[in-house]
Amino acid sequence: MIEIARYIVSGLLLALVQTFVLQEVNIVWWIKPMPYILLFFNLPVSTNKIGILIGAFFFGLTIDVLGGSIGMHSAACVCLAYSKHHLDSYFLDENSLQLQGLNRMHEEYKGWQWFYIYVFGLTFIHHLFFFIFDYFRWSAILTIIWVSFCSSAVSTLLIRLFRALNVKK
Amino acid sequence: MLVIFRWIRNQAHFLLFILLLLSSVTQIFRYHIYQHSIYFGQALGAQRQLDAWKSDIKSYFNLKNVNQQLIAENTLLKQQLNWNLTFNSPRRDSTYRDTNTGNFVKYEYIQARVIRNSVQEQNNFIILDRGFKDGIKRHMSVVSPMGIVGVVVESAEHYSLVMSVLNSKFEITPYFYDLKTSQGVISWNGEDPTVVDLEEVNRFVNVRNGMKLFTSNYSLLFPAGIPIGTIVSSNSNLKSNFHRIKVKLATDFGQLDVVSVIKNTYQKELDVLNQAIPSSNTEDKND
Repeated sequence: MIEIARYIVSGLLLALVQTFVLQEVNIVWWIKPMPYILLFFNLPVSTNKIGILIGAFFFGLTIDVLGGSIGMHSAACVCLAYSKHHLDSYFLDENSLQLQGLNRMHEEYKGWQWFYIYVFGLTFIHHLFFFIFDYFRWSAILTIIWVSFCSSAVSTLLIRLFRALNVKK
Repeated sequence: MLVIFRWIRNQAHFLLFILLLLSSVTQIFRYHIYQHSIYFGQALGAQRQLDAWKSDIKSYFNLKNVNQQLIAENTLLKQQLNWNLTFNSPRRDSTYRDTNTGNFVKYEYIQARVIRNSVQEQNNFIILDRGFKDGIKRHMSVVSPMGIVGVVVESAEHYSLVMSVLNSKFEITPYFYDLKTSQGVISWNGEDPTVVDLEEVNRFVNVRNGMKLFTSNYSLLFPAGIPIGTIVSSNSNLKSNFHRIKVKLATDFGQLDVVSVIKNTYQKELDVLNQAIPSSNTEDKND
């Protein structure tokens, strides 16, 4: 129960940072980093997949309500949660994670490069869906891919930073 | 039923994903003007496209009816053509009277469908699905939208027999539209069903390839101005006084379907006059 409350609080904090800090700061006007998806990487691998899907929807909806982008983040988060479940079942071996004393995806599992490629891949999926709904034009598909790529790179860097801060804590 | 429940339970993750995604996407379309306008613009476009396809399919199945209507309309229009009207004709109940000019129609068109047709024989005949009950009689001319077809030689109650242009006994004098003259005799030599011979055209007549030939106003069977064909080749030599001309027929006899049988409303008068021609005249001529 405490664990769930901890995730809800950290989710709310990430949502607040996203909407009141990152949404207001313009790095380059078209780059929109969304490191709040860090929450998904902190979830234990054994978490119920249906629960993650519903949680992702409401988490995204919270950011949407706070940031005034109704539907965008919730759609992207739902896509991320669904993709993450399938990617984890392909790339993660739960037994070997447990052997290493881990219950979630971690740098120690296969090294930090592998971990950040995994993070970047999922971030890209999330950002891609977000920007598809944001631009909503097939003619802008190349722009969408480019913006998603750049924003994912910045988001991954921020996730790295947040994780470093968390470790220090 | 159990199978369906089992399937839903197995696919719960995917179905929930779709449900949540649809819910989010619906919110996007509902609360964002830009996405809303694009989505509904495209949805409307798709709907219009679907409607167009639906209409195309519907009209395709309706083509037969449309075709029938067009044939009927064509027949009526042909009856209204100016060259088909005669001045000061005696009033007859059976004839159509043009409302604009007050003239009476000289020719009536009876539409018929070809139910048997041949092009391979030396003497080809066509059978139509209309007979004397529909007003078809001997010596009535038959035309298609492309050009002349033949002449009715027999009519039964519901069917009639037509001597095709592709018959060695069929002859007609053409009108040279470019030369404003009627000369020669067209007949078929029994070889190519698309080409007929034009003979007895004087060597000094300036015949050129591509000239259009129509029915002449000297014909007692056909109304004037119906296409016969186009000259494709002509030869002349000093030994003969006449050209040897090949004419490509305007009518494609392999494609015949709907034809019009032309009825001259004053045919009886013509018959009476023909009979009144003294037989001695013809004997003199032959002599």
